[in-house]
Amino acid sequence: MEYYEKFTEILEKENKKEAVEFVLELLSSKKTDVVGLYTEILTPALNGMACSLKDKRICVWKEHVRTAIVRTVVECCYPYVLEQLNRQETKIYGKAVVLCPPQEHHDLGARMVADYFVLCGIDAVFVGSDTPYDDFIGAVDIIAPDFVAISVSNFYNIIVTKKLVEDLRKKAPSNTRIIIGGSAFVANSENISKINADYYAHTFEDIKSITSVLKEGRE
Amino acid sequence: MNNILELKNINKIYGSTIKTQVLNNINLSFESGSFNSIIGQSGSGKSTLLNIMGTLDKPSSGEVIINGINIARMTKNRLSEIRNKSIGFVFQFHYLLPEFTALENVLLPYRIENGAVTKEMREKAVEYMRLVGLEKVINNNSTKMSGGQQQRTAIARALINNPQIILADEPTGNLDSNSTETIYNLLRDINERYGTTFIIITHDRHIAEKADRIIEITDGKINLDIKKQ
Amino acid sequence: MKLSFSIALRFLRSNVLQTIIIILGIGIGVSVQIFIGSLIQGLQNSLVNSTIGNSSQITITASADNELLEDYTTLMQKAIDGGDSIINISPVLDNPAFLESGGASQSVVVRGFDRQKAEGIYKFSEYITEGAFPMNNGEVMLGTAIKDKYGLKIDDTISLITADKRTVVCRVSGFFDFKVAALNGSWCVTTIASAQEIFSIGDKVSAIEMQVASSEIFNADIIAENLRERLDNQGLRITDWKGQNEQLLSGLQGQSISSLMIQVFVMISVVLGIASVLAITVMQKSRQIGILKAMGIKSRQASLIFLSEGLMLGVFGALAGIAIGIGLSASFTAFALNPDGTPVIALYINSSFIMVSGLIAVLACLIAAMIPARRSSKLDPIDIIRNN
Repeated sequence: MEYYEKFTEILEKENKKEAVEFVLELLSSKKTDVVGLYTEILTPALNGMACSLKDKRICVWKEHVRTAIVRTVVECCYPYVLEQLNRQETKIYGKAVVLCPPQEHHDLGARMVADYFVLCGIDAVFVGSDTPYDDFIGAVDIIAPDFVAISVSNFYNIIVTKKLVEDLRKKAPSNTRIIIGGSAFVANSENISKINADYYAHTFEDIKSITSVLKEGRE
Repeated sequence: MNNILELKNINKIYGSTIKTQVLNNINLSFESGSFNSIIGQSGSGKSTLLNIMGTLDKPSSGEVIINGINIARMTKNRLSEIRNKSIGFVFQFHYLLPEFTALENVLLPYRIENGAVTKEMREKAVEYMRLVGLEKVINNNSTKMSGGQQQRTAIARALINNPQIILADEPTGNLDSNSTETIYNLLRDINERYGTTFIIITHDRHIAEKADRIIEITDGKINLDIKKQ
Repeated sequence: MKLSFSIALRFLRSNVLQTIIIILGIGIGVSVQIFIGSLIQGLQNSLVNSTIGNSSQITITASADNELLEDYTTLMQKAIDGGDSIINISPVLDNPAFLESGGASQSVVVRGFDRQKAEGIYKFSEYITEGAFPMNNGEVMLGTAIKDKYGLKIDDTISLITADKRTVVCRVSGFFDFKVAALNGSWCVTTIASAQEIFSIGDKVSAIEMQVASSEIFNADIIAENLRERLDNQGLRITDWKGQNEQLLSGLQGQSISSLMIQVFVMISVVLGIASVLAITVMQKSRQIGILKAMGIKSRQASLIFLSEGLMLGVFGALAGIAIGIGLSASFTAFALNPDGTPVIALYINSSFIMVSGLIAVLACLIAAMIPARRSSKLDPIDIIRNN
């Protein structure tokens, strides 16, 4: 846990160089792995960003700066994702599309989940935030992913997600599995049942068990 | 949490020869002190739903229960009293009386019940006008105010009798984004300060996403009902 | 109530021009009503006045012809005791005679009056053109017609020849002009004592003449009837002016009815006007009523708004109408003149008639306001809210 506190400290100083160097040092010295970094350090750091300032506008600004630093850190981790994949001798079994619904701007969680899929042997395409709705629906039968993972942070976007899932059911190949996740469902688990998804995922373990079914079938 | 407002099996059908079902078996309950938004496309029946909640319109069938009492059992005068004391309305088109000044408009709901305005009440009205940022124009004629000012006056008017419920139909529907933000913050502030229950129809996602609960109405039915927490 | 009233006031003030036009409309209706009413009443009054103003309205005589009244002071006291409506009462002794002067002669009526009492009925002081009312026995006052006919002057003497052929010489003390040729040419006025002496009659009179208060003029028959009961004397005959002027009466009645008809139709048109105008204002204000109802105003309060409007329009309309009506009447009397400069019809202000006209106008406005009041009470706020 000491790494989390140290990282938070660096983040509060908004020191990007130090943050990247600190994380890369953790990974290269095997003090933690990618999943551990995402789960125990980066995610809590993002969720725990407290702002004691009275002026809410400065708070929002600080949040954006810190999120940008974490984003750089996550991107820098990709070589370690590949390294871990090689070490595990995992083959690529399938294809996943990871996205956020239109108007959803909180995409870092989805970005991390894309790496989880890769670690589980699924080739993940991270489409990013604010996915153009019609373009994605139009292309989904050509892409033919095994999994579509949708990350929702703002609970308002549950509305469009519900519609997105309903449209995917009509357009996507029948074996495409739909997974939902994100803080909108963490805050109120009742909201999960409101969407006709196949799976709800919160942790790396959830992704692992969801993908393992496909993995066993294709091995 | 107790429910301040409940709707049971609400149906609303317009027309006698060609029947149009505007609301289809709506069941909803609202917790006291909650901040709710209702979204839906135009013609989805959301305004009708709000008018039924506000006792302005009557359902074709079903029950409206306010504070545990079925309003079907109330007389017309009792309904007027409920609207006067327990419910505050904010409409898209502010609906101020052009014959009165801003402050007089704010005081109207009080005067409907009590006749004369006491000094304390006048001060309270001025206080609400200050709360909505209009203390400088209280004596302006309502027609000589901007749309945003009129809407904020209408909000102050909705507050004057300390209602338990405020029903708002597109309160920021014809306002610019700055005024929208001001009014949303104002409503949220009132919700926290006085524990007033808010039910707001909006097509503005910035307002809807800040509510505790979003209800989506599609073709007269509840398509989605989600809570933030 | 207070709220409804103040909302009504605001509604009226919000469109001042429209309000003024409505008030003027009501005012003109009321003023026509007052003008016509006052004119006709003035006309009737002057007619009644010139006919019976300077004559006896109720007369007591002996029931048998040529009989005289003996205990007339007691009779007069009894008549007066009956009530307040008899304002003037005067005994008179009438006898026919021949007047002779310078060889010519004519018949006259010698009328013996009590100067003070008769003044109330005949207003001699106003009509005496020369000299004075006879003071002593043997003095008479003659009409201007006789004066001109015989070329008489004050202090001239004339002879009166009575029915029993006696000749009494009298001194002329004055002349009068009642503006009625028949009187000026036939009356020979003297005191009761003088008349009694001329005709050798004891303390008796031929009649007791009375006038009633002007407001009671048309009740003279009822007063006479009461008097008849009170005096309860078979030997007396009591007559009143109405019984003797039936043609005048029916003329007056016809006028009253036609004036009433005009007033009723003026009022109906005023009511219809107000009703339609108020119906339009409730349409104009339906949005406001809808908002007020959404805010919880009760149907009763909503109707009171329009009743208050009707009341205010009625009151101000009536006041305007009274002002215009009196102005019209005054200018009519100022500009419509006889050749001699007197008004054709004297200005007649009957304050109770004007008050009643005003009150009827207010009442009419209230009734007219019922229609929009009902409509606003039935207005459903949802219709306003739904249609923006």
